[in-house]
Amino acid sequence: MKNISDEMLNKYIDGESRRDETEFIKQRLNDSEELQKRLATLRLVDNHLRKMEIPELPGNFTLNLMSRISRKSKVKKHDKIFILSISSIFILASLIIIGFLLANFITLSSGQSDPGIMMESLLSYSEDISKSVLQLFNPKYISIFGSIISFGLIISGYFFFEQRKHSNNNI
Amino acid sequence: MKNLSDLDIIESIKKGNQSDFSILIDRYKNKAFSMLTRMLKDRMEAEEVLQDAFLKAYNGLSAFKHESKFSTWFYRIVYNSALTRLSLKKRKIEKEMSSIDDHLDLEDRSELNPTEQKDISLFLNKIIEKLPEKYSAVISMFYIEGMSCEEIGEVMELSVPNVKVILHRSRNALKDILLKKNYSGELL
Repeated sequence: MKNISDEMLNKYIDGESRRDETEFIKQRLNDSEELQKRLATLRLVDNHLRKMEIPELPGNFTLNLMSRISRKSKVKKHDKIFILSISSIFILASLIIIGFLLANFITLSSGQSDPGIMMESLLSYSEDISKSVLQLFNPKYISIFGSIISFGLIISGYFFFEQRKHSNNNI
Repeated sequence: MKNLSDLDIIESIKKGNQSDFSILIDRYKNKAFSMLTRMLKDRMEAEEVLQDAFLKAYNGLSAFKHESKFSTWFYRIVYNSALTRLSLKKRKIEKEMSSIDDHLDLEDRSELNPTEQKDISLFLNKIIEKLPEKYSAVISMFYIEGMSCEEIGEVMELSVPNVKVILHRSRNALKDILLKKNYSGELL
């Protein structure tokens, strides 16, 4: 160990030197002014870095950030409510259709005590339903049916987009 | 409330006390801002990035698994946000960040006015401002946040020896400039 490298000095000031290295550095420090200079300068740098100023943020930083967070949370809540309401409308519409079909079937089968006749009326009713559904997909009706679905999607999409835009502007 | 640990505060936020996040903001904002200012060299930009980092942290709290300290996790967000901002600004960051063997030469950047030359502290501050991003990040986390080299390595995805290399290189570069400018005479 003839020369004392910067690496060794860094470890020395960090207290990470091995015992023999520490002894060697201490010994060399006694008779080398150049080494004393290097070590003192390195210590000065280290001390300065420890006392570095921490820049202060504007006083309202936390407040502004918290209001941004709360606005974002509100937007999330609104999104949830919007999606829930759209899904509820669809679910409700489906339930009404199912209820209507069931009610029709019950009306048809009321007064029938023979299970064979009941089964027959159920089959013919199902056939009617499937025919009506198939008719919806007929070239004649598909455009009307498609337009209704598209209209519903466009309307809900428009409101969703507008709501997002409004919320983003607020954030 | 201020004496609560980070984990206690996080648990409280997860339970719905959103306002408790302000304690975490107050706890970390200035130190993180210091690191960002040194990395981005622009206060306004540092403030913007810090806001985004806090928002990301808030949104990601549910994903925070307590595998590391909150500070380490948060500083990783801050550091990565700063890198994203730097890359957006199309600085040649990759060149500086890809290897730790990059050359740290601050001498040609140490042109200062006579007043700054007279005061070691001012002089050092000016030189520190000119440190490359990665060096500034390590210096800030080590000296201001008081993080260990292991934690810094975790934040920056570097090995501990590499963090030490950056730390020592930063100090050596500053020391060499001081010696060259003959400041050392004042010390002895």
